[in-house]
Amino acid sequence: VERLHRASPTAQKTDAELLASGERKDFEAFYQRHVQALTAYVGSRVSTPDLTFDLVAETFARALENRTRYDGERGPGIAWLLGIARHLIADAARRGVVDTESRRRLGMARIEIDDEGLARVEEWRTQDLRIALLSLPVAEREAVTRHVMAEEPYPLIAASIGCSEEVARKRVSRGLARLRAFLQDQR
Amino acid sequence: MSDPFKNLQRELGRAVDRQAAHAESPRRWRRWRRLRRPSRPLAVVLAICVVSGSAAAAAVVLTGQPSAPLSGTIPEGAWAANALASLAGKRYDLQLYPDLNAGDIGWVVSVRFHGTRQLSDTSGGGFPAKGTPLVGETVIDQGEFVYVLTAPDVAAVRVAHGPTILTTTAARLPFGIRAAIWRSESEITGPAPKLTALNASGHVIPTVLASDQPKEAGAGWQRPRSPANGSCSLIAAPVSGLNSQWGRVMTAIHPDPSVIGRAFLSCINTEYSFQGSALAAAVLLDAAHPGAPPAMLPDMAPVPGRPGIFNREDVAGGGLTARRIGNAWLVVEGTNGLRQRVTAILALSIGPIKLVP
Repeated sequence: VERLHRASPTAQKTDAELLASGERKDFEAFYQRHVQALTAYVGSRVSTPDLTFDLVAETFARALENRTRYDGERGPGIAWLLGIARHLIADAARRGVVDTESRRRLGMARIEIDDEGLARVEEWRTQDLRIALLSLPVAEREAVTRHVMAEEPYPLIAASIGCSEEVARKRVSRGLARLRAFLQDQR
Repeated sequence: MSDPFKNLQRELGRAVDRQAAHAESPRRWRRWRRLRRPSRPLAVVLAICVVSGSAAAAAVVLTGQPSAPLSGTIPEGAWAANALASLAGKRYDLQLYPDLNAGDIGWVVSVRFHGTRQLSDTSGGGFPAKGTPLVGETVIDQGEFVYVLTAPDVAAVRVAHGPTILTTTAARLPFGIRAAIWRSESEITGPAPKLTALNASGHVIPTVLASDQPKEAGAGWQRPRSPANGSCSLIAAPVSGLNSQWGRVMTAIHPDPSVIGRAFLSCINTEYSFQGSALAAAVLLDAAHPGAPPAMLPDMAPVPGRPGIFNREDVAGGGLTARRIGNAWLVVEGTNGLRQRVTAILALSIGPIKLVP
């Protein structure tokens, strides 16, 4: 996923670089890179969009607090985030309340969500595709993401990743087939 | 429409800016606000601890404020009274359990706060080692709850610009580990204040400052890649339904001679999807003597009807179930109940462990 956004230098940075810099734009890039996948993951494990959003917010706050502890050699950033989220979900399930400790320590304001906002969260939380994308080989993941999620045409994908249009089509096709198999396997 | 994800991004961005501002102004890291009246720290009575020295030494008097217990209630306090949501009056409970991340040694500390507004805090705590008598110091809620784990020979912890806390012990603290728990007299808005370990004679126990712990050699992997090869392996029975998702394995296992007492070294951790939920598994070795029989895992109770399997339910990931295989512990952590964890742990086995000669 990290290779999908070649337009800006920030987008080319690894998760470890984004977390290590301490710069706002880098952490925001890290957030943008993973928020959808994290929301889908959390949303598949809890029942409501407001609870999903609460957990996503605390997960990123905890990631921000502990950003210097992230070790890229130990796995991709999304795996690290999902690990944080898993602990928070378990904690919330036992106690019935989502932890807010990291957000409080960081001085973050509570984010109110109106009905439209809840609908947006619901849309993302029921989207399994990003999680499933993680199961794909990098080349196929890139092709599928660009074509399906970013709606880029095949010629642009081919030119961007340095292959023929035919190869790009095959990558998308193979990737989508794998995705279907992965999603069926998860059900 | 107000997009909650954009709002969250903005709030996180502001938090990053505040962190940067703190980093640029070290004197602002610790903002001490004097109280209008004396606070009531967790322990209100100044205690005198008489510690007997060796036969040759005279008894030494070490004065300080006793640590709060590992489970208790946080009293009301002046500065916290104005906080947005104070922990005052909340019951708390501090627990330790082994760190399962491959290459890590030591303990994860979990603090739960019960009450109308329930909170918890979980952090990797490390382990007391020679030259590192204090580990895992953590400030929660601007100092309403501060704790640190200590080596067995630490009788007190001196807080810079603050009190001296006499350490405590408890059955749930394994291998002689002690703890100091207190409530700060004033609000802490930055990192934990500087702490100094004192022995029973009141002398400073030196701390070796190391900016970076040496990294243990290891390899991470993620599906669809196959699990990385290393010094340990976990084997799932073919029809078990355990699908490995990602993990990490050590590629060289070295004894850690700095360990004080006993500690566990995780040589592999693997995240599985299993019966619709996530489940983590790890192999724990004796950290000082890998290959030797590891100590009993703390706070684990035998599972009735399952000889050799132990369990505890109070860890942050849900529950922890373990069984000893050879000179290692196979540990499974998950949230979907003991039955699932027992099923998983019986379907898993440990491959050959390659120790450095």
